[in-house]
Amino acid sequence: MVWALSEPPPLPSRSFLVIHASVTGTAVDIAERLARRGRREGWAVTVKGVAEFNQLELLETPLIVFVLPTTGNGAAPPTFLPLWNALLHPSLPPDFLEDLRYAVFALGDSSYGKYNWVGKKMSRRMDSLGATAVVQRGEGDDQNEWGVESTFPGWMDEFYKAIDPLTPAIDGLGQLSISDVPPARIQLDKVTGNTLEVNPTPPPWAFDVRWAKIRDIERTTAPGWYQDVREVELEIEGFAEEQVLYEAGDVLEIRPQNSPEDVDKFLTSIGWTSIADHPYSITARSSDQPLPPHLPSPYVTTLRHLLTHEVDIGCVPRLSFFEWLAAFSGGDMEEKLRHFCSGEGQDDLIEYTNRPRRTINEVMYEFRSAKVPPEYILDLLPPMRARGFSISSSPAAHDGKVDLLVAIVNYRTLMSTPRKGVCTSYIASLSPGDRLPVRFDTSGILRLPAGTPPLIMVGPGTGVAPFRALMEERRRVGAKENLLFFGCRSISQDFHFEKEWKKMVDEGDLTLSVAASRDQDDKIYVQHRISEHSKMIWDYLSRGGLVYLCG
Amino acid sequence: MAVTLDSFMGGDDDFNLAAPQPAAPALSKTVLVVGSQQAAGDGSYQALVTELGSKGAVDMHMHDRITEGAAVLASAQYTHVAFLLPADLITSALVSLVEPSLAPGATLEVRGPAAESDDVAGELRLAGLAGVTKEGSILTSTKPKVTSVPLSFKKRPASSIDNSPSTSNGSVALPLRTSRAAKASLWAFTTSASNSGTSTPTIDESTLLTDADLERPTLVKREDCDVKRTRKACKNCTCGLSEILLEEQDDLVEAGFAAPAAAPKSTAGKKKMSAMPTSSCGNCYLGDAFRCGGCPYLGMPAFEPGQKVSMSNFDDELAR
Repeated sequence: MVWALSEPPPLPSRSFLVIHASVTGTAVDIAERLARRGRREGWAVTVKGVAEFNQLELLETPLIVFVLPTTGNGAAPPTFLPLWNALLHPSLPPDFLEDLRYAVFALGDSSYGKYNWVGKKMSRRMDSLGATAVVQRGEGDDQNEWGVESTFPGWMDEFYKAIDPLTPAIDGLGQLSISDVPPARIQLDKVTGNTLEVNPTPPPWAFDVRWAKIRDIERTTAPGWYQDVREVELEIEGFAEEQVLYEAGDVLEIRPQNSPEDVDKFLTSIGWTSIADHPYSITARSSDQPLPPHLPSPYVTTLRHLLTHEVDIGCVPRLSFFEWLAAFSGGDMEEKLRHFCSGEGQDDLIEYTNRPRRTINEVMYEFRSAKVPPEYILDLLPPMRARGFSISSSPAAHDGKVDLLVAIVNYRTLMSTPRKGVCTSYIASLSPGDRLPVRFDTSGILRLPAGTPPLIMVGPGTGVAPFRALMEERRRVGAKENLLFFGCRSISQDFHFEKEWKKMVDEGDLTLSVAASRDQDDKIYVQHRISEHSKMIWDYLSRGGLVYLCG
Repeated sequence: MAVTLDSFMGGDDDFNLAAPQPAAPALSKTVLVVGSQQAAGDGSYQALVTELGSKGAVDMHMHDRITEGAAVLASAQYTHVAFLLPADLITSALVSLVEPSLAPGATLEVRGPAAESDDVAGELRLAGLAGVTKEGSILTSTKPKVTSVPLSFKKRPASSIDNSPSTSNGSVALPLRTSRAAKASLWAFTTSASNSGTSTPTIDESTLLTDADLERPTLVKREDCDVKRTRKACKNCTCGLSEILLEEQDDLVEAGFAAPAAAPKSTAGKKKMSAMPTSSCGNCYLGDAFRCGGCPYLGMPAFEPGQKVSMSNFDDELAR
C-alpha cells in the first residue's frame, strides 16, 4: 500500500493526545506504551479513553493518535460511537479538521471479513475532513505470528520518526535513556490522623451505575455436570413503577472484585503486605496522566482497596506489565523479563502467558524478587473492567428485576490449578441479599424489530439468554412466528430454560429445535438442525423474517 | 448480534459526501427503470418508461452503466424500480448496487420473462427485499421499512448550511476556509445531537473504504517457518535445546567466531523419569519462566527454598 502523505505542518508544542476505544484492554495497553515511549523522548503525552475525550478538543489539539479496535462484526466499539456518528455528519466541511494532525493504529483480526474496518474508516474520514496523517495507518492483526507485536513496535518507530522533526526538543526536559524508569502516574501520600476517612464502597465506574440486590442465584445445570451455569435474579434498588431501565436484548454490566485470597497473595508476592491497609491520599503526578475519571482527586484509599476494586490481577498480563516489572527487577529475573519484551522473546511470552492463561497474580509470584514502589500500582496493573452479560428477562415481564444466565468459567490448561473467570467467580461468590453496583448497557444491537415479522434465533449454550428476553416480549405483542435453534450437550444436563421454552411451544408461540451434541453417537449441532428446517427458514426470510445469532 | 440481511447497510442516508455526483437534480426523480440494449431495441423499454411515468419522474439506466460504476445511484432515492432484463443479467452485483437506492417501503419489480425465474426471486430475497411474489406476469418485492427518525433541518446553524459542499441548486461550492468559530459551533451542534442519543444524519460510512482497504492483508510470518518455534535455551540447559541451538551455529565455530561447544550431554531428555524428578538444570524452582520445555514441573508455581514438592495429584491433572 503506497500513500502519498502530505507534509504535516509543524507542531506548536511537543505534546500530543492518544485516544483509545478499548474493549478488551489491548488498545489501552498499546496507547500507554506509545505514550511511555513519548515521555522518554521529551513529549508531553495524555492518554484518554474516547468516553473521557471532550469532543471539542478535536478542533484544539494539534496532534491526536487514535488506537481503535474492530470487533468481529466490523462494528465500532460502543464508546467510540458518539464521536464517530458526529464525525459522519454530512454537514461537516472538507476543511473541518485542517488544523489537526493525526495517526491511527487499528487493531483487529484478519480472519474476519471486516478486518480493521473501524480504524480504516476513521483514517479515511480524517482525510476527507482535511486532517493530515503524520504516518501511514498502522494495523495490528491477531493473525500475525506475534499478534500486535509483529507490527506495533515498527509502527511506533515510524510514528516518532515522523513527529520528531515537527517540533524542536526542549532542552532541560531532556530525554530519558531506555534504562531510566519513567515517573509513576500517581503520588501516594500517607494519611495520618483521622482527617480523611477511607470509603469502603468503590466509586461508581460510570455516572449511570445503580445498586442492585441479589434476589436469587441458582445453579441450573444438573448436579455433577461439568459446567456450572447459574441463573441470577437481581432487583434494582430505587426502581419506580413505569420506569424504563432497559429493553429486551440489552446487556447488564457488572464490575467484579478480586477475592480477598487473591489480593493477599498478590500483596505477599509484591511485598506490600505491611502497608496494605494504610490510608493513602492518591493524586495524579501530572495533568497529562490524570486519575481514572471515576475516581475523586485526591482519592483516599488503601492499597488493599485498590487491589480489590480498581485493578485487575486475575487477567493474563500484557507486554507492558513485563516492561514495568523489568524496570524493578535485577539479575536473571530482569534478563528474563527483558527477553519477554523483545521481538525474539514473543514466542516465549505467548507460551508463558497466553497459552496456559497464566494470570498477573501468578507471574507476580514467580517474579516476586521485584521491588515495585507502591506508587506504580496503576502503571503496573490494568484497570478492572466491567463485564457485560446479556439480560435474559424482558422489562415488562419482570418489574424492576433483571435475570442473567451466567456460565461460571472454570477450565484447565497445563497450569496445575484450574483457570477461573474473574467476573464469574465473583458472581458465584455472591448470595441472596448481597448488594452490588450494576450498569445497563443499552448501546447493543440486539433489538426486536418493529411489528411482528417472523424471527429466527440461533442461540447455543448460554447464548440463548437474550432470546428468552426477546421471546417474552414477542409473546407480549402477540408475535407467534418464532423459530429458535438451541444447542447444548445433553437434554438432561444443560438445557437452559427448558420448562419455559416448552410452555411457549405448547401455547403455539415458538418452534423449538434443540441440538444436543452428546446425546447420541453422532454429534449434532445447531447447523444440522438449521438445514433440517430449510423450508421454514426460507418461508420466514421470504416474508421479511429476521435472523438473530448469539453465542 | 442481530443480522438483518443488509437492510441497515447504508439504507437511509440522505446525504453522501464521498460521492457527490448524483447531486440535487436527480433527487426529484422517484422511479428508476433498468433496461438492456435488447429491450431498448424492441421498444419494450420505452413502453415501460411511459407506463411508469404516471408514478413520478423516471430515471433510465442501462444495466451495465450501473454494474460498471458509470451511473452512481443516490441512497434511498427511488420509490419504484423496475428491471426489464433477461434473467441472467439480474445478478447479485446489480441487485446489491440498486438496493441501497430504494427508499424504505419502495417497490422493486421485474418485468418480462425474467419474472418467471426462481433464481431472480432468490437474488431479491438475498438482497434483503421482502414480499417477493408474482403478481400476474410481474415479480414484485418491497424494501423493508427501517425505523428511522425524520431529519429536521430547523435547528441547523447557518454556518453548516453555508459551508456544506453541495448547495441546493446542485452546483458544488468552492471549498471555503471555514472560520474556527464557525467550526466550533457546528461541531458543538453535531456532537451534542449525536450524544443526546437522537438519530442524526450520517454519511454512508461504507463509501469511506477504498479498494486497498478491502484487500486481504499480507501476514507477517517468520522466514524460517518450518522450525516449529524458536526458544531460548535456559542457562545450564539439560533438555538438549542448547545443543540443538549450538549445532545450528556450527558455521560460526568453523569460521572462528565462536568457541566449539562442550561435549553434548546427550543423556538428558532421554533419561527415564524417576518417581520424583530431580532438577538437573537447577532452574525449575524459579517457576515456569525458567523451566525447560519438557520440565515435569511445568504448570506448578515456583518453589520456596526448602519446600517439599509433592506431585501426588500430578497424574490426576495430566489425565484430565
